[in-house]
Amino acid sequence: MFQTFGINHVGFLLQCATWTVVLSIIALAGGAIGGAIIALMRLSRLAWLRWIAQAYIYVIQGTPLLVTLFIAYFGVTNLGYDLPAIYAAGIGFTLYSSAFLGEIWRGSIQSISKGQWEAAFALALGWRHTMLDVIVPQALRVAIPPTVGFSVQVVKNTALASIVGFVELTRAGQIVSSATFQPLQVYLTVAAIYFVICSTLSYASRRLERRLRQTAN
Amino acid sequence: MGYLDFSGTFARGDLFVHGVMLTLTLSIAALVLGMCVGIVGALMRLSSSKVLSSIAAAYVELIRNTPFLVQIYIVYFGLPSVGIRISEMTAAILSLTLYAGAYITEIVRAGIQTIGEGQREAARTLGMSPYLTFRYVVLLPAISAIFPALTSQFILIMLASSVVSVISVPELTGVANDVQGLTFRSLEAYLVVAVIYLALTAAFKGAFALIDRALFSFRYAGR
Amino acid sequence: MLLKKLAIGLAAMLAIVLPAKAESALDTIVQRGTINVGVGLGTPPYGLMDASMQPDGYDVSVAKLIARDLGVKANIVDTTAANRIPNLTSGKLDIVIYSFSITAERAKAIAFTNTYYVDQQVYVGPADKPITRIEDLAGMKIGVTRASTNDIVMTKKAVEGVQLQRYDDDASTSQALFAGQVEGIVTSGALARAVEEHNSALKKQFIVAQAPMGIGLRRNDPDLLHWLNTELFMLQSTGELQALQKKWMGVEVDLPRF
Repeated sequence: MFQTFGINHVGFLLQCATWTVVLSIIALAGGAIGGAIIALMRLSRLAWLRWIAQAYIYVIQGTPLLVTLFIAYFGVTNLGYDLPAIYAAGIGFTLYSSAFLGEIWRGSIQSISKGQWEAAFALALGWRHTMLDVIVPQALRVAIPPTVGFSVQVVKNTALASIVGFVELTRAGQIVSSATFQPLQVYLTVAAIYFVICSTLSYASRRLERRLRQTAN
Repeated sequence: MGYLDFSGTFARGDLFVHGVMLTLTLSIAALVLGMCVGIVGALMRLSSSKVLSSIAAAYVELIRNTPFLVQIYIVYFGLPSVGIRISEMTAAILSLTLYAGAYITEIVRAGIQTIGEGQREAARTLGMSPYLTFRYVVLLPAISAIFPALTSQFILIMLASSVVSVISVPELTGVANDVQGLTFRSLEAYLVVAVIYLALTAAFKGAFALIDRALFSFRYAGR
Repeated sequence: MLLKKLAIGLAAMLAIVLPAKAESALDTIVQRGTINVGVGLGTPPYGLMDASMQPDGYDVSVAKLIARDLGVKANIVDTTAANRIPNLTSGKLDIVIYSFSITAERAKAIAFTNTYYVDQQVYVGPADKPITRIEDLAGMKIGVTRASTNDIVMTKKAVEGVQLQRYDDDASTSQALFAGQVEGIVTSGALARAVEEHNSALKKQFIVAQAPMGIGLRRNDPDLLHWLNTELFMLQSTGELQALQKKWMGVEVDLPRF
């Protein structure tokens, strides 16, 4: 019944790694929408909006992602919705990445100097136009390197979805390990696959940062 | 379902208390040991020896670009097959330390780099001994500069320690796993630990703010 | 014209109303065309990935027979032992076939069918350290799978001096034993055989408890429960269930009924 860790297993791991990528993309796409809302709320002139966004960030950044995932996983269905694991995991990761992307983007927007706002207002541009046409395009450039950097965290953290029973790369590693009883080989392979994905993203983030610094000078 | 029933969960209060103690032990041990690794790592990273600096760089990259969960599996399930066998507590502290050490290496390195060569030269010109220069011109300002980053790192370590529940360490999240198995009320168990983690985060943020004021009073002098 | 519109409208309404009226999961499953079955793919020989990386094992084979006789597709969902009941009650899964031992405590939260296998919870430890009584485990580190029957049994027996280590699934528990992280484990007889086969230094030593296993489903669904019991009865009379037992467990067992 026992199998020897071989090419079939590596193929299975790579196949499940695509789920890691899919889940990461869902998390980043959902987080982009949520993060934009959070960033704008944080910069709003309405105190209660700022307060809600701040409380949200505090809660998400103050609890382990694993616990957030468990709550999303069991909570969504507790409310009476019947969702497959991928959606439950997607919701959990969206909650998580919204908070972090929101903070990264708020920082980027605030890094644009006050003078730009003043100049735009002097030209009689409204808040909406100043934000969308003047500030956001400049902030975007600042935001790209840390956003790519954060995507490394997201890819790594999707490993936690294995604990709530979503079959991605890490869970695939557990399954293969239980069939082969060769945990070291299996998990080192798993780690190598993550390393390839994450170090590519890390490298891209650093390149983008350097280019940004060069153009800024 | 659809409604919440916390009675079974609250009845296991003693388990949660044990879980909190273990979470604190793990986080503090990992921070202290991670600091040691981080300082050595940063010195290696900045050393003129190419070998030392690339070893440190490889360590940092390997840890930062693979999931913590997979690192734990390698340490706990993988290492015994090459003859290295450690208990689950040791494995938990070792993996947390390696994980924290990589991030702290980068924090400390950035901190040391903020101290310009000019300041060191100025101190030497004033006749300060190398030891005094290191202590007052390099170390103290560097620690003060990295303190906020270390604070958030500690919170991140504490939150990451939730993952060691998978190797049967009954810290806070492990307790929630056990309690949901006993009560069959999963959401309630995780909501309770979420609130406990939030309280711990708030308490530590407050405590670190106090320490910051006390230690680095010079930063606040002019205000 | 008006009549035609009315008829179409009525038909549309019926189409909406009828499925909503189908309260039993049995009808929902047949209409949906798939049945969501929770299994553990890290619990050989009950659930595993075969050499060509397809789900297989005793539990998975039973799931496939059930899907065949329902005339639907089996959606095999990998889950953990601790998540079996929450995944059922929350509606993520229709049924759980996961070496699921029947206990009176669990039966308050979910419903069980008649037995489809009877296993034992056994102690597995080093062959050169024979142990015959549970009391003699005192002072040892023993691995169990969190929230599984072996965890429940060992927790309830609460043998003085035994340090229980709880892992998320059987895969981790058996790995902990091979890695020497625990001195012994309490696990199903089926997994014990697999462990012995893999490592001759480890041996099944004594039976801790009997473990009759059933298929889990949500409570308050007499139709689905009755259908599953009928199905199990039929699979036994055709001999298909016994064939699967022989194939995966190497033995045929008597299946007591409620």
